[in-house]
Amino acid sequence: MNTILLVDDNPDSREILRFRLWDVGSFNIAVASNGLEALEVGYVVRPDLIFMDLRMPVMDGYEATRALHQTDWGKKTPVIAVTTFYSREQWRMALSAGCCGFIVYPIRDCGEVGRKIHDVLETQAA
Amino acid sequence: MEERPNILVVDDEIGPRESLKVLLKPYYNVYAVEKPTEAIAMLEQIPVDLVTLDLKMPGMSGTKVLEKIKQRDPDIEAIIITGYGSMDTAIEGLRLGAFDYISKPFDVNHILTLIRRALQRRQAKMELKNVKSEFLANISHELRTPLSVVIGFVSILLDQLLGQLTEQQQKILERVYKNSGELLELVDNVLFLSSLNAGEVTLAAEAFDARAMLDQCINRYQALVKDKRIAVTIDAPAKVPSVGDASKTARVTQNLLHNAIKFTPAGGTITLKLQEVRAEKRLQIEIIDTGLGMPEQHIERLYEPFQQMDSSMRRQFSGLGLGLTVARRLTDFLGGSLQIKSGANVGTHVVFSIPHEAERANAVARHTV
Repeated sequence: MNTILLVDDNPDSREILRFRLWDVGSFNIAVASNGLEALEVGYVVRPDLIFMDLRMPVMDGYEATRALHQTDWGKKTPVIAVTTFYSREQWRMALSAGCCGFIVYPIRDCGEVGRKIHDVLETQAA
Repeated sequence: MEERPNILVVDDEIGPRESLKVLLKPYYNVYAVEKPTEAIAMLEQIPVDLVTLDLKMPGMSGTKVLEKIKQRDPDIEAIIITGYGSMDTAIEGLRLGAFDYISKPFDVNHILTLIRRALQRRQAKMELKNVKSEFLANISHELRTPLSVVIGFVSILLDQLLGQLTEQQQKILERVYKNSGELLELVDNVLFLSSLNAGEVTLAAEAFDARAMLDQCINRYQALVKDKRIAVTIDAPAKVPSVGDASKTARVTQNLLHNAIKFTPAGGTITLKLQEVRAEKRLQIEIIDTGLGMPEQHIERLYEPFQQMDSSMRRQFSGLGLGLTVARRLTDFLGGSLQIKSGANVGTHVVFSIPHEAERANAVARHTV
């Protein structure tokens, strides 16, 4: 079973994503509330995929993604950025930090989340 | 190390042009052009901080160039150089936002001081802009986060992920969903207008399929359309590849469509037409509804920027939200045009068109967002 790590400082946003993931498929789900925690939790659970909020206290999503891809265990872990608002600048920065996808809140259905997971895990398997 | 500022010298006379180049080279990156049209082309290529401008030039008048430069980027500083001590053009230049003027032949120290001070002003303006943009990003985050949580949880309940709902619960949650969606749209429009006013918005050029974009816009309001039993017909080719700013084009379309839906009574029809006007290199989207229509004098007023609307107008158009203002401002920004033809009881016909490049569109790879 794939392990997915949800990183967001807002527990409600994490919860919503978790409900959607339950509906999309069976995953082990781990959570973290900032970038630094994500690296600590990630080291233990070795996620197959990470949903990473970009704006967080302590360590933001950009920095965490960069740091993750420097580690032995996480250098190939795909990261999907999640954010409360879309801007091209943000998307550009997320890409250059190493994110491979982008989801803008609110999450209204399973479709988008499901597709993103599918795409990423497919590419990974290939 | 600080980057050296870029200065563009625009002067048709070789003497002053070359002497300015030599004079400024030690401190700045200097680019010099002869013709006003070249100046505009130059702005596309390099991030110019300051322009020195001879106002008496053949072809496009100096003031015209200044106007164009300020239109492109109001934060580029300009120093007017007047050839014949003509006060009128200098004053006109200042009115258009030039930093200062200096007459030929100019004093070396004087012009160096002017340039230094103008660049200081620009620096201060850019810093303020960064503060503004950071503020807007924070506000967006603060407003959108809780709203997204509401919408996210309500849609989980509505999708019955946590168990079946009674009919009444379903109905009420649908209202919560609809109203929070409207609020989100309003918040987005307010934030968008603020960033437009703060000069925060940039124009993108990316390949996109205009037909797919149109379909997405309609999808967004599927529930609303169903609710009001509005028949939506689409008259468009299966694929319309284009190059432009997809998300802003979509935002205009969404706002126009949303208004059409709001003002079309239950059981009405909305027709959406999408076509390429190849000869004019335009992409044209028409939205035709069977709504209540609007009296002509009101349409005129809608074209005015939001700030100029008086309170009585705002009351009259409270139902319109900011949709049309955003659509109008964005269309200008995209270099397009927006026409609204309407009359009481005959419905509204909106024609929105933007510059369009189809040939290049076919060559550019798919863009993911």
